[in-house]
Amino acid sequence: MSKINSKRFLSPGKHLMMGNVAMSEGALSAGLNYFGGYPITPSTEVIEHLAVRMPQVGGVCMQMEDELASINSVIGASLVGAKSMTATSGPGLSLMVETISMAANLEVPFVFCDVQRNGPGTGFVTEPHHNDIGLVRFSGNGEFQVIALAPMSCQELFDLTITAFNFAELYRCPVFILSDAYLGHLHEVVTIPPKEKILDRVIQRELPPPDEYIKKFTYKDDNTGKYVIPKPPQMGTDYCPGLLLHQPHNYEGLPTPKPMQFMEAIMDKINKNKDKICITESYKLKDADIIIIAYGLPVRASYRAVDIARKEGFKVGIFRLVTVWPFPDEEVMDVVKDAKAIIVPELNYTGYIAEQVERVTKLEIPIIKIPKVCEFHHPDDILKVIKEVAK
Amino acid sequence: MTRYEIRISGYGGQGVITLSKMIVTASSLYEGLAGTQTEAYSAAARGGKCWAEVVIDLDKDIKMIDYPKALEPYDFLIILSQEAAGDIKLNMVKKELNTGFLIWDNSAIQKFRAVKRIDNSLGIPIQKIAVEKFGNIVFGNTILFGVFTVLSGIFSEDSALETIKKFVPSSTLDKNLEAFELGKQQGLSFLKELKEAKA
Amino acid sequence: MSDIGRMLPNEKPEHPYVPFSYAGSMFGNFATRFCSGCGYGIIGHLFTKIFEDEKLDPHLFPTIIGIGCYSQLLLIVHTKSQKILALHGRAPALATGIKMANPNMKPIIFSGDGDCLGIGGNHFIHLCRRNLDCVIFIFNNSIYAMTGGQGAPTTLFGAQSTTTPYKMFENRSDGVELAVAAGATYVARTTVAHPRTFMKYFKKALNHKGTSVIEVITPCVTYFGRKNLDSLGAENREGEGEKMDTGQKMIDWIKQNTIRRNQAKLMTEDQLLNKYVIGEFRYQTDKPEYSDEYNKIQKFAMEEK
Repeated sequence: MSKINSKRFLSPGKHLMMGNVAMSEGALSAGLNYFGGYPITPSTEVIEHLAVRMPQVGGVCMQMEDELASINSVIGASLVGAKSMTATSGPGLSLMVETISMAANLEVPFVFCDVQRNGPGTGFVTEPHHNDIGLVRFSGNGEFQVIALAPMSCQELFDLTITAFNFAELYRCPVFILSDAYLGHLHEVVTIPPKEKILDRVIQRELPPPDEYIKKFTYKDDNTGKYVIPKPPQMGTDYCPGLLLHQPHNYEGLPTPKPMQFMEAIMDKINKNKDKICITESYKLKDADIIIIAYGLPVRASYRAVDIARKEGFKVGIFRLVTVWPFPDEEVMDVVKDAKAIIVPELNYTGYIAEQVERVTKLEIPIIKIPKVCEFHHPDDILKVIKEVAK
Repeated sequence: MTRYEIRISGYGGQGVITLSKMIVTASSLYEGLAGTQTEAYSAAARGGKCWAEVVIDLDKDIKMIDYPKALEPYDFLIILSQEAAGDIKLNMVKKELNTGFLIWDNSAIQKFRAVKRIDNSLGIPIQKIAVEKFGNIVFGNTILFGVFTVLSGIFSEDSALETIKKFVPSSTLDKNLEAFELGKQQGLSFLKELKEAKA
Repeated sequence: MSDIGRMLPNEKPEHPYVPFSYAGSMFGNFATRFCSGCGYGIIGHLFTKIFEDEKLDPHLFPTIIGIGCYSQLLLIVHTKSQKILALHGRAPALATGIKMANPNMKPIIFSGDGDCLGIGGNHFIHLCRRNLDCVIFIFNNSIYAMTGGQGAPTTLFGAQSTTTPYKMFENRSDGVELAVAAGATYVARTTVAHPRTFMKYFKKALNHKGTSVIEVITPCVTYFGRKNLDSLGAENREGEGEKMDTGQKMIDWIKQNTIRRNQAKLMTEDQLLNKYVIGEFRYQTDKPEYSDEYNKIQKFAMEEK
């Protein structure tokens, strides 16, 4: 990257922004160079906004012929060294999964904004529904790990998008931003930090020093036993294998007779770095015996519910998952070990995270799900459950 | 925690969404209150039932609105089309002393039953004034914004003027300020009426 | 090439471009898995020859390979070219991303008839529509060979395949006509039985700015030839003839079954059924190219206040 275009950054200070726009601006600040997308409600504003902004900063915004093409072009762009992203909704994601698994196996970094909506392609397009949580985790054939971040406000959509790009560069895996139909269309005030502060945070796409050109894919260091993730290879430079194969390959990119080693590298590079990837927040957890575990929009309602409940003398706290995948097993175990009950408000009926909590706690602590579909939790909904549980 | 719930509904393209953005800009960007705005989009933004909602928290210490959708009963309801008027029920507007306003366009809505039994309701022929006096229907927004500024009182007039400068093209700024003034007068005279009625 | 004729009978002929091929540089021989009689070996070596002779910069000419039997081509095409295996049918989309993110590049796409006219038809149409600067080969062996001989969109009328065991009755899809209609600016068709034409067209495509589509008719002995008679496509010989079970028979059949474009103009539609018309179908140099146009937009947007 020769010179960073100053048009990338909005003027520092407060701006009123739609969630989708805040996400796009976050991506631009993080150095987005290629966006490939296909319009789908409720993510359309992302491609609309970037169609204006990307040419201004010397980047490319392509409206492809379908979702399959958009994700493939994103992978292509990432392979030649552009930070790239796509944005879509659930029906688009389900079309893209084949390519996501290819990208994960090839260790191509990219960011994926999933503005979740209700139901299948013919569903209620304008209603929020966190129904892709499971699909995101297992988004493709083959085995791999993904990172998924769940913001809860427009400010976080901006900040976490930068984090997502950094994770993509560091861990070379698909990174998802789990927005939803409501968050994407919410207008809120976003405070944009000064350009220098953003640039300090951003990890740029660079080539490694030439003597490290041999190792292009994740490998296990024999001396330390740790997984080393080299910088992503770039086509059109010497730092690229002659053959990019999405089949078990070693760190040079050559087909390997040891698929197990490859699989370990792909899975463990995330699993062993959970302490750096898993971002969590706690709220009044110290003496809490009823714990709310939440992510995304329901957290907002939970904060208010906890404040009211605390005033009435209930010992409630919130454990918020900013990183939904990989699931922070140890941290959750540590937090809930003395809890009387766990409440999991989720914007879906299945309770994807509730299932994970059940797995971690081995069903020893009662878990109360609060499912909601197409509308989100009012503080009173959560408060009611807290009171019932405390009885 | 003092939520102020606002809902605007009318024809898509009439300025429903712009007005809601003006309100949230004035109150959260210039006044520093926590606020959110949501709007109809995609197919829902077409036709006579386009809507936009704004929630402002009047408590300055609140950093984030917990439930971003406006809840019934509303503090401020603006109805601009016949289709939207049909959905309005009596209990949708707060029945408190200084809040619970219903503003409707009596040049666009012929039949509005509920309005007779809602106390703080004001009919203004907004479309008619906008077209006849200013030459374009979009000035209706600024008139309504003036009415809103006076009646709600959640942000200062300075913030309102800043917002107008931000939203309208500089070529029509004078006309818009005129429209704002007109809205303000409408609002002030309505407040006077209410006071007299109560006294 | 000329040395081959002068070799002694007991001497092993060695292809002069073997050292430049991927397998050649690794193992010193043609280590491919192609069946005997397959046309992809010819294509791979012609590609390597041109890549070497034209001194193409491997950094600027990435090779994007789709899924099919020809995916094995990556073992025999030039070792220095940067190759990536794309998903089935998605090679044109992947190439679009590569080209747009680095407009100096000119992707060379390998795709087959099932890849390009079947599953990836939409991507192919839109690649041609955008007139993106790249070369796309459609290797047409009129069968899904890698999966074992199923009917393809290009399978000839009356031919046999494992999914059309009685006979193929669907209409054939024509990659060249599709490319012309979609807006590609250099469109040609040739066969592996005409290697010099192939090289001529490929060189022309490399120098052309815009989407170049070259359809290459190639034989599949194992799954197409062994099941079909050489009377396929010939007039008034239905049911007669012998099975095309060697490479020679298939190459002969391809030669018989191809018609030059200027000759085809005089023929009726019935006469052209199951025939391959070869030649150049469009060469248009004045049509704007996508990445150039986008660059103009970028310049405009950057200068705009």
